[in-house]
Amino acid sequence: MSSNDKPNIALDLDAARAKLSRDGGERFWQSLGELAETKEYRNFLENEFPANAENNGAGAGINRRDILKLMAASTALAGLSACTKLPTEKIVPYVKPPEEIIPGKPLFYATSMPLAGVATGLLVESNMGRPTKIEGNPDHPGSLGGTDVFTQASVLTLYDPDRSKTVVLEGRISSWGAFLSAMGNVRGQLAPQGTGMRILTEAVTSPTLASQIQSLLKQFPAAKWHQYEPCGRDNEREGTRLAFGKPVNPVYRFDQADVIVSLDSNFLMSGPGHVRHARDFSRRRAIEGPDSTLNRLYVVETMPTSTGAMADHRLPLRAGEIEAFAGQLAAAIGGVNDGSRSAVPPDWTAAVARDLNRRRGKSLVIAGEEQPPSVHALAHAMNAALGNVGQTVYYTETLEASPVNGIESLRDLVNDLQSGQVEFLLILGGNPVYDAPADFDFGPALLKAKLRVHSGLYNDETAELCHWHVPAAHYLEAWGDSRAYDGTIGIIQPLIAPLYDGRSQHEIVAVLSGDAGKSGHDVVRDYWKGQRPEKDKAFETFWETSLHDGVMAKTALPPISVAPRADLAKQSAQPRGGDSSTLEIAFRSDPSAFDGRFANNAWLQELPKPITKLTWDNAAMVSVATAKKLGVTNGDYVTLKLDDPGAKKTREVKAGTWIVPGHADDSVTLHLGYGRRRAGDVGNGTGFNANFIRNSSAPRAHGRGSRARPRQVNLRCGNGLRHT
Amino acid sequence: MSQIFHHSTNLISRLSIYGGVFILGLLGFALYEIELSPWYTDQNVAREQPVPFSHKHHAGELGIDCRYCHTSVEKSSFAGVPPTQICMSCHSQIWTNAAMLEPVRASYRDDKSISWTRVNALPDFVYFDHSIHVSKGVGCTTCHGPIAEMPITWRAGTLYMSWCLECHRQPEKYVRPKSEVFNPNYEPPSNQLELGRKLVKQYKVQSLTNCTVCHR
Repeated sequence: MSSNDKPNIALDLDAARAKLSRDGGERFWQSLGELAETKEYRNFLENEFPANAENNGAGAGINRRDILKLMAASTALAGLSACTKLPTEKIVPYVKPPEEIIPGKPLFYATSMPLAGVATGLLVESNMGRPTKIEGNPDHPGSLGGTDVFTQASVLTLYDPDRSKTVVLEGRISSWGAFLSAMGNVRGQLAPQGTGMRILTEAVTSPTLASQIQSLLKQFPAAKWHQYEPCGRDNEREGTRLAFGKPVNPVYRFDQADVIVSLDSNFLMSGPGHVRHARDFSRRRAIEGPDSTLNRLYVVETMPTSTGAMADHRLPLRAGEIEAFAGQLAAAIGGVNDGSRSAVPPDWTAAVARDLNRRRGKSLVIAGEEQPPSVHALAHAMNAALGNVGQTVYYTETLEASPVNGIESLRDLVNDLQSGQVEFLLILGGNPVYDAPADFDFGPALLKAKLRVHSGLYNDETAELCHWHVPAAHYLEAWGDSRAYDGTIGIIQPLIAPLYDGRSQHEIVAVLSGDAGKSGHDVVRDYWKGQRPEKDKAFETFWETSLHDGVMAKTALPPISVAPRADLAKQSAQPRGGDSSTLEIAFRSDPSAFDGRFANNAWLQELPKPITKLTWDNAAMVSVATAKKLGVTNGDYVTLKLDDPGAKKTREVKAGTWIVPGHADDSVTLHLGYGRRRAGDVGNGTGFNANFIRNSSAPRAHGRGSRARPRQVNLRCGNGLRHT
Repeated sequence: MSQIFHHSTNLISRLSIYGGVFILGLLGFALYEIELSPWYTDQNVAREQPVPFSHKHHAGELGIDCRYCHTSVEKSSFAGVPPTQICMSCHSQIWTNAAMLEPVRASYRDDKSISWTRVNALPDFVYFDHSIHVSKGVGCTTCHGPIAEMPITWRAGTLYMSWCLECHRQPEKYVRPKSEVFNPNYEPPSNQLELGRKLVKQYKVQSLTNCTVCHR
């Protein structure tokens, strides 16, 4: 697509400002362009999506009017098609009808969709054996009948024709049988110790899969298990480790909180339990009787989010300065003595602290996943000081069977790969070649493993560099289990047999541990049969009930008692605060592509992102003041550079600018999940890959500003962004 | 100045005006007839099937209830075409060697569905639900015709919108007591209109003629 001949919708920010101050009072506007009402913008509106007209391949002669004429003509002509005989149709009934199916009536099954390890319970509509529509499971604590965009759109991924369809060996079509015999050889060669065997998974909360891998590790004691989740909970986990000395899982109860302070946390839209959080939060926003009290939400955030839009009081703040603010707030509450200074006006902080103190035991401080562990630790300390623990937040053992820091785990793997210690690497899901931090140089490192196996829904960037690729079964095609945000176990039951030659992770691990041929159903069921106190008949009842309900009753993890470490204050009293003379870069999971796994889902691509309304693209998002300071406007390309002293080189990406009113100044937000090379026909070539400048030392936010030094190069290539 | 047109032009123009009306009218009439002809509507055309199943024998002579095979007619939009298993529930006992039934046995043996030719098909832009019709006193034979007399099944109506509306506008002309809905030999009584009005009230039959009732 050429970008040079596109009209540039110049933004006149000064005009917009003048208009705002002149009009006074409340004025509602949808975009900066509308506010400024420049001539160019009006032309743009009149032409409505000139880019689309240009791209339809029929040449530049067709405009909107012509298209309307053509549409009218084709509608008239469509009437002619009624003058044909109806084609002969066939009715093909079952030979032996399955239980409960009434032709023409849908059935609903309970299952769960895990995302980054945490499950949302679903009720899936099935028409004649085909899953068609996904809604939330009212009995599941992580859903209560609600869903998010990812669960809604996941049914399209199931039917995605770009999904990988066959077992592939070195780029050629192979077979499951050949894979089985190859794995048999691997077992023979690596026995008895399993030296050089490595398994890389995403965050695993599935008790069955964890137990399978652990028994595999028992079989091969020298083998190692790594977990990496690009948009996972590393910071949160390390934050609890910092605060309590061991990783725990915080469970937030927004329905109990009168005052909520979000430290860059988008808890309504992302993170574990966000569907439930949104329900609980909104319930406290409805006046149902004379005794109803509304909650109050303070949000301090970098990039405007839906959570920020719900806030009663919102303060844009650089990601790197949120830590200082958290320290200041903690000091004001009186929980932790912190000497740090932040850019936040002291009276703002004092007001928030006063509000929190007034609602002791009924308030909540939550830190965002992208914030460093120290901010999480401060949030936990504040909750403890405010007496919120046990009221609005409680702690359980971790959801992950083996909680590890994903970045460090991947770093270990890369080090082993570099030193040539890896004989056999099994990558179960995930796409580290695409989404590993740039300084790991994961692709070249991966090639040093002697035998590489990848299993995933798509033959993606990682599959390309592996010897074997085994198509993964979609969650609607396979048996499994996973935990909700509070630990409740949900069985993942398939609604359809694998459309292609897909295998679940359970089946692949079973092959490695010598149980080849054991079905995913048997693996999951046998595990629970061994775990549950119910035996024989009672277990049958329990299993059937759990499948029907979508959750195993009373399996939520019990609250545990933890106390923040006393020396937390000293640790976090380090001088902090970014240097505002440099820009900082904040990385966020994309609201629609997530970490890139949904890049080939057209429903999600077409979905306008919250606040920015961008579709099919990501951008370098900056505030109005920063855009002015840099001299860039919407659609200008900027080059973001990251110096990598280790590799003695500078990495860079070119990104379109998008001005987001309400963004923190001197900060650039980049969404991950774009710039995919092997996503499929839908996702290929959309946006840019922000992972190119993501560093493992600060994978989610370059808070200090000094590490990432984006220099803007004003290329003025025109409107590089699609916008609705 | 000489005349531009020859004298005969008068005649030609007259003839072509009358002829135009007549020819166009004839063409319209022909199209109308074609549209209503069995060739176009498939009305009264017995369709060839993989097994020459006779409703006359099963529903008429043996008196098997419609719902024995069309199981979902009371519950679903789709009446249901019987799975092979239902055929075999009898034909594993009787006529077990009939050559005519070999496709049925083969289907059961090989677990391969029988592919029946659809007789009554509505276009996909029409929503139709069997269950609501049978529960409001519309009999099977009201739409499907004298099914107990069909050795091979044919389409009894045109399935045109005008055909649907005929009943939707005046349900009292067709509604029958619920107990008679599945009776293939039901004859409307002489006082149909009187009975129909009573039943329409009793069954709360609505005369639904809004476009979006069927074109959703």
